[in-house]
Amino acid sequence: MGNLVINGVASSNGGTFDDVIVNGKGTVNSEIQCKSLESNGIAVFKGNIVSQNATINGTATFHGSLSSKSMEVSGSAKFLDDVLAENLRVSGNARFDGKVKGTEILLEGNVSVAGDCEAEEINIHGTVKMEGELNAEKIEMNPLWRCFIREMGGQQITVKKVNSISNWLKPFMPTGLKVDSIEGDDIVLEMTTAKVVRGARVKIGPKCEIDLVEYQDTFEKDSSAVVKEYRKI
Amino acid sequence: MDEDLISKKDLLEQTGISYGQLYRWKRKNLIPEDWFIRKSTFTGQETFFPRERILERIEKIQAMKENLSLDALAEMFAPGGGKRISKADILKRGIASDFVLNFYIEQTQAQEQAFPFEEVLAIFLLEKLLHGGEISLEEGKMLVGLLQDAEKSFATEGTNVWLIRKFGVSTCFLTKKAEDILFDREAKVIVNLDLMELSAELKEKWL
Repeated sequence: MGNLVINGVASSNGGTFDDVIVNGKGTVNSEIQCKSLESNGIAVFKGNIVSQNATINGTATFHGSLSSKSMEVSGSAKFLDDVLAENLRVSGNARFDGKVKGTEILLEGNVSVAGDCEAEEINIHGTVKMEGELNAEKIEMNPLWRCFIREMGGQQITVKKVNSISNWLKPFMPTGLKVDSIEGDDIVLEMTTAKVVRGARVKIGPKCEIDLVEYQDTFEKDSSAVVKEYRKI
Repeated sequence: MDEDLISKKDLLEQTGISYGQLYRWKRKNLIPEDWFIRKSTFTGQETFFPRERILERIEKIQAMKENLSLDALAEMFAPGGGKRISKADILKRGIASDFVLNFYIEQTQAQEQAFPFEEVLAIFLLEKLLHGGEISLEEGKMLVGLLQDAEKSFATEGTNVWLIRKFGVSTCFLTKKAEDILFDREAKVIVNLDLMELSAELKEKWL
């Protein structure tokens, strides 16, 4: 099928390719269908993209939707439309203006999502801001700095303090998760501020501030946590 | 359109499902997103559902869950999995009679021996209406034309097919997520069918 390679400063139309590689400063003006997409320089993609593998190392802006079997963002990327990636890993900066949907998602950098985010399993070790709903079977989160998620829902939801070398920096960094509501079957929280937490088995750990907990089976609370109101339903 | 609503909490209590299940079904699109209605209450934001539709849907999911995987279920509630259905299958499963099937083939001049889901839905619709005696053959032709002109993905949530008559003259059309429709006094609504419900009914023929 042939490749599309941009090495200098250039713009091109889209099409169907094996590999698409942008190394310099490139603009692709229309839709792309490819096996692999690699963007190392400064790239702008104006059409929708369907690919098998996508790797974004430099700075990239996607005006259309992107769907890929796997995607890795290590640079800085901006997605103006929806993103569907079975395996998604972000270790750099990413801004998603639409929805994000995946099977396994790992967010390690600084990520913001304006729409809803769905996955079977999501791991967050970093800073996130999610204006929509985060819905996953399993959510594991170690917040770094200030994180915000409007709503979280799923089966198993765990928010824990990160254990790493950077811990000695911690006293200087206001860290924690702020969330409007959390709903799940098994919920374990640390360093979380929430208006409502609803679940079957709820465990509220240190540094939590919860306005209302509604639980079905069990409720545990660390002595240092603040829970204004809790009730069994 | 004011429908009776049920809060998420009451729904869970009444049906015995868990948050995990509800969110899983939402992810799998077993429950359409626009059934999640957000409202501000004195305790903050709460989610409500159209009571009748959600209870019926959950009952169906629970009943079918035992012999179908979640993905198979998701396919059942979402339109067309890209599978083609043969003429023989249509007759055998009682989707349409010989007469209606031949009428459809005559109208569309279809050459194939098998049909995609959307076309089978159109055939099923025709069977229902022609055999119910609600519409005439002429009107049937019109409906076939309408569904052919519609986009392939016409059988999405909230799409209704209408046929109205006034002084014996009829016309038909599709509406998508229409809230209120007002006709003049003399117009008579002959057909108003929710295509999603019809497609669920059609899919049950396979169970």
